[in-house]
Amino acid sequence: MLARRMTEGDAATGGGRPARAWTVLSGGRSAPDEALVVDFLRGETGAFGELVRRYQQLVQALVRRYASRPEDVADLAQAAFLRAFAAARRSLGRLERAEPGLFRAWLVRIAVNVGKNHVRDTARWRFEDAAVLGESAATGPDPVTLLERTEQRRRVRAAMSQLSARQREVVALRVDGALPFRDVARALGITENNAKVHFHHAVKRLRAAMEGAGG
Amino acid sequence: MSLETLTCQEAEPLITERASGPISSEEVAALERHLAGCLACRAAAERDRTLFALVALAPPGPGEEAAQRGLAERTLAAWRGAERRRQSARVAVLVAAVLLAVAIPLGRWKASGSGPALAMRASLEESELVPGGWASPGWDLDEALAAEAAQEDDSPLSDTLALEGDGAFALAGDNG
Repeated sequence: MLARRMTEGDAATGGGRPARAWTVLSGGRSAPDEALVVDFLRGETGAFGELVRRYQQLVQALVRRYASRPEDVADLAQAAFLRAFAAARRSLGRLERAEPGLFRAWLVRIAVNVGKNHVRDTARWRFEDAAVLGESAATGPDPVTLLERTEQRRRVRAAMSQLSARQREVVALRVDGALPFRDVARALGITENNAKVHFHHAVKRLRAAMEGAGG
Repeated sequence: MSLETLTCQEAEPLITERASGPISSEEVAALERHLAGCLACRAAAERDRTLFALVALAPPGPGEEAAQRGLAERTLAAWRGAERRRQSARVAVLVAAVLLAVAIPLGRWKASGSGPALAMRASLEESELVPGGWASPGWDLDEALAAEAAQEDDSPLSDTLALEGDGAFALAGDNG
């Protein structure tokens, strides 16, 4: 158990941490996800909560692209975590030897798949852009600007739906998950360069749509 | 590509990547240096910010935030429920396997018909309680005796005895 070993090390150096401080390592660094997963699968319930807290926001951001109702978003997030832990249990040996980031990559990939399955089952893909709606309420742009934005949003939404599935996934992971390209690539099982190529092709089409040239 | 001084062509993909998500701190620094002196690229950066605002979803509303509250606890409860079902399924499979392991040989044993007799006979033979191993419990003994009686009626030996008997009577009659 990596997390616990490190805590013991901290205690040995006079850290005097409480018993549940095993999620925090010396130097203020957090325990690697993989160590927490292994701890949880061996009975440390607290590690579960810590992992969910770490990634709840990311998972929620990813799955909400695929669901329109708040309760569906919550259900999809829960399903993603459960599947990620089940996958971790099946590959416990690999996880113990894994370099940091493997669990996160699994979780992101699973969240996307859970979302895609939900879309397949319900035929929904969420394109609402309330950022613009929020902007209209908060700053109150003039009606002409608002109308222009609405039209741009419609065109970009249409262009998103016409991207290839891979391009759409890369854009969603980048925009919704705010993931570095390295993590986008890892989650999708492609190279970083490939992820960037998909991304820039997609952006070219989206930009054309926004400017009224392509969609 | 040198990050020290970017050309507009080199800055363009970085502008888009930065508008959509994180890039390295070295890239941010290089881009800032370029944007400081390039009006066209600053306009491109503004255009891409608008684009990704259109692509992005709205921040979660109060309903969505409320639905997410307690996710860790609910997920843990769901995990434990699934674990219990998994354990129950394992036990059920184990019990079924044990039952099958017992039932299949028992079924074969009974289906053979003479199973109990064979078993008892084997047991007696092994224990050598009866020399020759013929002796058996009552039901088997009766069957054996009946079979033997039938064999006596039909066998060539019984015919011979009868003839001899007839002859004896004849002899007796002759003598008397």
